[in-house]
Amino acid sequence: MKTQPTLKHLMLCTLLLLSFSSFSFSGITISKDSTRAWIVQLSSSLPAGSDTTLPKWIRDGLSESILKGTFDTTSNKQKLYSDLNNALSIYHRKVIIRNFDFPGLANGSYQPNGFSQGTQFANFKVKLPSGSFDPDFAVSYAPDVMSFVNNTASLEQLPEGTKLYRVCNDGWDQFTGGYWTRTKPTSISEVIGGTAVQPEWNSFKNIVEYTVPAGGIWVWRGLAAAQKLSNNLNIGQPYLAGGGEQILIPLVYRRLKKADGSFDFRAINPAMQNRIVVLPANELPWKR
Amino acid sequence: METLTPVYLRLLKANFEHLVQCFTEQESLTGQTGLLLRLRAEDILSNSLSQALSTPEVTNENLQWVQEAVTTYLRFYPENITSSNLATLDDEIDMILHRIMEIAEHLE
Repeated sequence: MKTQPTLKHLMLCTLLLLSFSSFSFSGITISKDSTRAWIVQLSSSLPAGSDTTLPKWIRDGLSESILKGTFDTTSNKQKLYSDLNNALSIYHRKVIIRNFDFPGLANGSYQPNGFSQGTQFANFKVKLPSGSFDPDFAVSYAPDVMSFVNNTASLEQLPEGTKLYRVCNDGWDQFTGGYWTRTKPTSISEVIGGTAVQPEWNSFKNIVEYTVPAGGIWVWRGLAAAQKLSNNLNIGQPYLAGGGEQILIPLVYRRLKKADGSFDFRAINPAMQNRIVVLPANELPWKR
Repeated sequence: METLTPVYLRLLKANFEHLVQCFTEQESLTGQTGLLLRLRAEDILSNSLSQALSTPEVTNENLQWVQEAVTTYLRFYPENITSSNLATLDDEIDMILHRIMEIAEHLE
């Protein structure tokens, strides 16, 4: 049976056209993108290119309404745009605009890790059984100690051939960093939530694998302490619960020493570098 | 609140400002841009430190915010520091970081 086009059909066709593409008619450009108006207006006060960058961030997953609301209420639009432009990942951008819809976030409020303020830098050393071992293996750096639950970790030997994994930013300084896991992460939630990695410090762009050499290595093993979602923005609700196992490889394996016996943070130990493989991007489940 | 706390906070601010200057020099020397340690140092200056120093009386909450931001910064410093290819500048950066660590120990 042949059906005649109805007003309803015509309206549907028009809606389809509008949703699939921008088009010009008689010199008038109609955009498919309802965001266009506010972005065009906003972009006039932002650096060149912002009119294409802002829609890309929305396509990547930023909430348009939260992004618009954040720009509407900030007293410094240029700084907000700059912060978003310099962000390390989509997750970092979401933190900046408080778009808390990504995996790994815990409801509730962050609770500091054990020590009362003012004593945390003075007392940490007694919490770790580092005294009887070679001082090169001691964790004498308070921020490292405080990254473990209850500021406690155990010194353990990993046998030759053990594989360790690390999700990190670009570059060999990063690939040879301190914090590792014994299992390859299968989701971004394990990284952000389980090992409490703040998006303002990690791009989650790379995963590297380190194979322990002959003779094994001594490492600190413990549970990752909870962290605020952002220290810089003071966001403790939601927070990063931690609780996953983390391995801290002592500096003696990762860096070379200066003539005075202290570690040179800029001098990567080639023995470690040679046993690290940068895994292909398809090993990152959140990048597939 | 310790009466010296505002003094230590102002010292911290001066050292972070100096650090940012040094990383800016490093960027101009090496062609690197967006050094993470510079960006996060600027964040500390414009957020937690700025807030803590904005009132005559430093609140416990603001002080805790500064402590946590600085501790995290120090934790990630060793694996984010790169060479400027100028030994004098590298030494200067290390010295400032050492000073920041010392000052942070006095915050209470």
